[in-house]
Parts: sequence; C-alpha cells; structure tokens
Amino acid sequence: MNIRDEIRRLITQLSATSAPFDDGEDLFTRGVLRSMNLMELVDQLEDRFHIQVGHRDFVAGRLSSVNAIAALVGVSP
Amino acid sequence: MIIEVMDDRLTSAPAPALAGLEADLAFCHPAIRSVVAVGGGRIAVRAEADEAEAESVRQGIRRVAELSIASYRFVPDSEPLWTRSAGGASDISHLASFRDRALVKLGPGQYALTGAAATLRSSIDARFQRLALACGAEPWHLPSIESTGHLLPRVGYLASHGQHVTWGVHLTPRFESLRRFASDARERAAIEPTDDHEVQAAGFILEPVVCHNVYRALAGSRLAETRLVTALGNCYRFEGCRFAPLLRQWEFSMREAVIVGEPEALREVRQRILDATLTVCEELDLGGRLEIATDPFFVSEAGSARAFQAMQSTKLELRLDLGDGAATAAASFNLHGTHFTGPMDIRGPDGRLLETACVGWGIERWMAAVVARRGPEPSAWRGLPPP
Repeated sequence: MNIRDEIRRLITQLSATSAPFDDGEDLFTRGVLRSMNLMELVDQLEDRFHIQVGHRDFVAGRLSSVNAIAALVGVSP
Repeated sequence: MIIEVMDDRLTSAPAPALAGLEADLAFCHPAIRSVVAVGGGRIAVRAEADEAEAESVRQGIRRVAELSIASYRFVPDSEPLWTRSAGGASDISHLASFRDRALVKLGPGQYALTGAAATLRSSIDARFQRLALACGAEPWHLPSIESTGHLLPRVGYLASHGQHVTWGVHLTPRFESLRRFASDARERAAIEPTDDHEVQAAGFILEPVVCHNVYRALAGSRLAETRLVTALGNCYRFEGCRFAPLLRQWEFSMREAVIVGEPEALREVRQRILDATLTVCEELDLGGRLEIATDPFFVSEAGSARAFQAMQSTKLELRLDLGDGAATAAASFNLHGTHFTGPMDIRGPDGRLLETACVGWGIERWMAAVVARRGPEPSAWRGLPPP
C-alpha cells in the first residue's frame, strides 16, 4: 500500500460516512471528516508517518485534503 | 484545605491554555471550592476533603491538566485583532461596592438586580437591540428552554458542553405519586424529589444560548434571502465553583444576533455588527481587546473542536477591561459553517445548505465593565440610552 492509499485508508476509518471522496476535495467542507475527528487524524498521521504537525499546518490547510496531507508527509504530487 | 499539584507542562503552556485550565478545574472534582493558582508549574485549589479524598482530587487535577493543556496544542497565543485604551483606568473594586448596594444573592450564581442595576441592564440591552435593528434584524422572543431531542444530539452539544447544562425534571403525573410527594413536602419539608418519588426527565434543558431555538424554528426552511434575527434571552450555565456576580452567573442575560445565509453575506453582516459593537466601546469609553478565542468545550472532548475552531478563526471574543489586569469576555462573534444548517436542513432556494453565524452580548458582563470603568454611581453612566 503506497502512502496516498494509506492516507485514504486512515480517513475512511475516521469518517462517519461511506460517501466517496476525491483526493483534492476539502474533507471537512465536504463532510467526510467532522471537526471532532481532527485530533485523531493528527495523532494517526504523526504515529504512522513520524511527522510533527504544527499550528501553521492547520492554518495553511495542510490537513484539508488527501493531496494536502500527502504533501505534508512528503509525497510528491 | 489547599491541595497542590506540580506540573512541569504549566511552565511552557501559553496564556490561553492556563486560562482554559483554570476554567476546566471547576469541573474536576465536587470537593473543589475554588482555584487558588494556575501557573509557574503549580496548580493549587481550595477543597473540602479529607486526606483520602484529597488524593482523588489530586488524581483528577492531573488528568484534567493533561487533557486541558493538550487541547490548546494548536491554539496560538496570538496578538489581539483590535485594542482600545479607555480614557481612565477601570477599578475592579467598584464591582464589590456595586454588588453590595444593588445586587442580592439568591443562591449559587443567582442574583436579584435592584434599582439602578436593573435600569443599567435594560439600558445596555436597549443599546444592543438598537444596534441589531439598525443592521436589519427582526426582533424575536424565544423560550428559555430547549428540547433535548432535536438539535442538541445532532450537533453533539451535550457531549461538548454537558458540564454547563441544567436539565429539567418533573413529577410523574400519577395521582398516588403526586400525593406522596405533596405529603412529604408538607410533613417532612421535602424540597425536591428523591428516590422515594416518581420523577421523569422533562425533555428539555434550560437554554445555555439563544441561537439554538432560532435554528430549530427555521428547521426545514428554504430561505431566499439572508435572515437576521435578534432576541434577548435568559441563559443558564452551571459553572461549578466559579460563580461570580455579573461575570459568571447560573442565569444571565444574553442578547444575540443570529444570521442565516450564504457565507459571504454572513461574514459581511458579522463584520458590520462587530464594527458597530466596537463603536459602543467608544461611546462608553471602555477599554478592551478583540481576540481569536475558542468555546468552553468539555475537557475530554475539547482537543479536536478547539483546534478546528482556532484553525478557522471562527470565534472572535471582545474582552473588556475590569482593572488590575482582569477582563471579561463581553461579546463573541461566531461563524458556524453548516454545523447547524446541516442537522436542521436549512437551505437556500437552489437547495444548497446555508451557513450560520451569531453574535452574543453578555449583558451583565457589559454592566460589570461599565461599573468598573465609571464606578457604582448611576450618575456616572453617561452614554447609555434610556431603557
């Protein structure tokens, strides 16, 4: 499983909906994730990919979509 | 007794986290009577407890501190968005003399406002009602109770704010049960139902905010235009050991302006109301600052909600000076996205979900800021309209 697939799997596990989502879609605006999922998403990304998420990552929208998260963990577009 | 816990995390925690922890400690353990100190690596509380219970309090403090500080991980200690210095200093001691002459304590967090205090409350509310109406709001009146089975579970309110909620109960309408309670009230001075009596949940809570009932009233609506509503409400929030007259009351008065519409229109209306509120600070010569803030979420549920709110800067808070470095959050300006319109199915003419925003003015807190700045004498409260 490549990193992008792993990110999709984490998001699917956290999501309360079974609706499909595109890699470029805003996960929170689209309703795939709710605000209450945010810290769990951060915890799982930090554990799985050994990164440290900072405040600037939130403000810059680096957790908003699969593409943004993939860039955050170092996957080339 | 004073119970102390040392915690190294406090030495590096930002100011919002320390203030938030102090609030969270009010819901840590029922033996806690007051929070004495938070900061410098130390938490101290005053508690009524024996040594065995004191250990339970310490364990609770450690757990709450861990969760509370963690919930502020993504909340920056940011610069204020607006500041104003008053023409003279506020003096927090004015609040004590005002309380002594014009307020009567009726119970925890419950106060009668007499004479000039009642007049000041009405005058301040009239000023914000006028402000909201000038922005195009329609006046509403709303109940002070909210059904537990409608909006609350759908937006997760009881999980995120349950510590503040007061639920209603009533005696079951069964003759024998009612007669037993009547007999106990008459002969044994029973003052509330016990396990010997038959009670049931009333199915409502005492309203902690004004806007929920607006969204409930608009449920299922298809709105062609931005809707702006204003109402004054009696609101109820349990505050544990932190009740304080005017500043944190179990029952308090809040006027809200509630906006439902397209995102751009919402932001424009919120900004107009915000600007007008800052003008009121000028009129009354009150000092204060506008900050990015977060809601008082229950500590175990707070992490994600607080991070998301701070990330999006969806809550702005106007904190008014009280003197001696103290301030009170007297107004908040909130964007909710589709948090309420989704569960309440409020949409535009094209079928897309609309968004909501609200502005809340805590009337008693504005009273406190006026009294701290001008003193307890009514003759000094110039600038306010007649009620």
